[in-house]
Amino acid sequence: MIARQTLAMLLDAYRELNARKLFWISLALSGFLVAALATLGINEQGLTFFHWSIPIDVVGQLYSGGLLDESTFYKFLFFSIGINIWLAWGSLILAIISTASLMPDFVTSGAIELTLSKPVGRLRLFLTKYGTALLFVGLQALIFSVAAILVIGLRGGEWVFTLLLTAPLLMLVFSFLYCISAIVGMLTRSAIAAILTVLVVWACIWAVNTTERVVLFARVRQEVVLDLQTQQRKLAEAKVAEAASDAPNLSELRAKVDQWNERITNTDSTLTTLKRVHAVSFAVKSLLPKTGESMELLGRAIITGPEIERFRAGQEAGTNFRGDPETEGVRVSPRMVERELDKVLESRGVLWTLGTSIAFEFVVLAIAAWLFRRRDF
Amino acid sequence: MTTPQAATPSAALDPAMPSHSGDLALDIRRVSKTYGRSVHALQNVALSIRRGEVFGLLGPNGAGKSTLVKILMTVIRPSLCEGSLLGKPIGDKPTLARIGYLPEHHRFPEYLTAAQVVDFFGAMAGVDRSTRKARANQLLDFVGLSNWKNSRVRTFSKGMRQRLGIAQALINDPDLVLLDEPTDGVDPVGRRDIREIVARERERGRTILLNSHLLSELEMICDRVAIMVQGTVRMEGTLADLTRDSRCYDIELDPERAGDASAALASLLAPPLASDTDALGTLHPDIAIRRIGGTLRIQSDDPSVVQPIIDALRAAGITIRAVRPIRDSLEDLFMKAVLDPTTGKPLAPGAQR
Repeated sequence: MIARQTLAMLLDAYRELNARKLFWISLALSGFLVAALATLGINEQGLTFFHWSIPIDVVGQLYSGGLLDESTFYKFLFFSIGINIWLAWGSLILAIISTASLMPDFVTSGAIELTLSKPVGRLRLFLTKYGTALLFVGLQALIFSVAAILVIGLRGGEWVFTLLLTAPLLMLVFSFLYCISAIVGMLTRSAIAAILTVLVVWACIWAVNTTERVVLFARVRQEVVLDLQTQQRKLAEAKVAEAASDAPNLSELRAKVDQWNERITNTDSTLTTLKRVHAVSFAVKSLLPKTGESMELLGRAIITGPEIERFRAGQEAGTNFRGDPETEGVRVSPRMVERELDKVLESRGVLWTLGTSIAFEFVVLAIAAWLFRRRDF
Repeated sequence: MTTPQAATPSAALDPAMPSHSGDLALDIRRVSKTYGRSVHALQNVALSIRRGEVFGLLGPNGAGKSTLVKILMTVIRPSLCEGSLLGKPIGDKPTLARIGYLPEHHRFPEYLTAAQVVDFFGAMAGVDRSTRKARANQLLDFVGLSNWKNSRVRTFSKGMRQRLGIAQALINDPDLVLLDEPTDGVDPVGRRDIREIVARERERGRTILLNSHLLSELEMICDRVAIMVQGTVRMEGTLADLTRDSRCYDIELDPERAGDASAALASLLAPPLASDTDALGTLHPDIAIRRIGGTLRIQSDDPSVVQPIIDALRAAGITIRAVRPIRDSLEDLFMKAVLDPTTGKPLAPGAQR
């Protein structure tokens, strides 16, 4: 009986999705985007659009220098536009809007009585209904990722099956937000309230995430500065040690050491403050779902480290780089900071990113399910 | 104003019929529902419904009828509940597979067709696919929707939705059917059709709990009724039981000779009781006879009591125009139940606070 009921609910969810125009609009947009990306290509001159060439020197140089081949180009294209912009934002917003009324419609007076009066436990009813909403995003992402695999395979010559991770990962990211929609929709029976709450929470998550990233970047940069300053002080101290006691520039050399000491003290003080601020923002972030970082995991799975390095090196070589700006007496290379930042971010790992997000979802869902089980309709 | 019939569920049953729990589709005692601390939607409700009978639950708006049905269907959690539904404790989920339910103001998914609605709720009730398919066609035909089975619910009128609701309530071939205001918003033809459907289902041996405030309809099809007011059961029993005290005979006389009735009956009647000075007199044992305009009212449902009165009137040459048995209608009973005995005014609608 359980299988029969679950199948009926899944079929009903499909019919419901089928009846929602936004599902098809979203799917059509996905198809249009994949087709549009498939028309792009690269050659020695730059980008290509169908048979036309669009001269872009940097791209042409990267391609000619072997730093960017077709498959990497398509992977970057699909990840940065198809996944990071369309699926992670556009499609997700459409999904939030489309599915916001699922829970309010489910618990609306006159409908919920019929469902609750069947021999199905309330917890199973709630979770199945919740799961069917995730189908919306799952189907969209699955169709998109299969199309993307075909385009990259046929146009770029590499079959990137890791793109299939898009569907479960996007479903997971959507579920981090949908759990909020579900609880608000269930309590208020209002789709508008559910959408607004999700958008506010999402904005909060984005704000906390951005704050943490900015503070982390500043902290890492300050650590690099401190490291460079410490090296400079050692050099200055070595020069003092090497200089004769009656050397005419001894006092000047000692002044330099003092200057480095002063700079190090300042940097250290700033770093201490940044570490404190970062610890707070990181703690807050740990409690919230990590939508952005979860999507970045997909990037790690699709685009390899060496490919990113090659691309960055190529980007740097292609620009008229005039040297690093000086900060507190040292020149800090953005690549050096980026590498250190990458190390910190990669050290967080899949388990932390998804684990803490799933924990958030679990808590929200547990509260929602508890309320649903106890509620009178 | 709880009647003796309402004191305990078993007392409300016809003593001539067996009433042990195996014969009862529903047997509840002490069902209460309190919202917050002070809103008492139901207070110690007790009811028994025999298998195979059509039971009418009536009462004014806010009396607690739908709350009680929702408790039975696990839609609302009771504050207190004792008893059984089809022999199982109230709230037992597997038992719901044997019950059909049509809620008040129900809403089916608008994107489904009539056949899909029946199929979906059949699957939710655990009915296998082949049975669902066969029964869905039969039921849609039964409720007069066979030509509309592939039309979406959003195109249906209120009456069609009610018919569809009844079809989905019967898809699992239930032992007990709970219909909450099934004729709500339905035109007279539709109401008659629904009454016929209920009657046919009774013939098939189903137990039906009909929740309505349309008294005339309940009167036509219910074997027994209960009247709920402010979360309590005020009266329960068969219509015959509930109207026993009100049953009497009216003898309509020629108005010109009606004034002679007192003299014509003088030899038959004893003086009226001290407490009943309006009566012409009393027949043994204490059956009051009144004259209301051109009509004599005999407070007895026994036809043999009326015969000597008719004889005496005819012997006196008084023309008798009609002899009619009289009893309270369900509406009369209903009004008695909802009136405050102390003030004589209707009790405030809704739950008690």
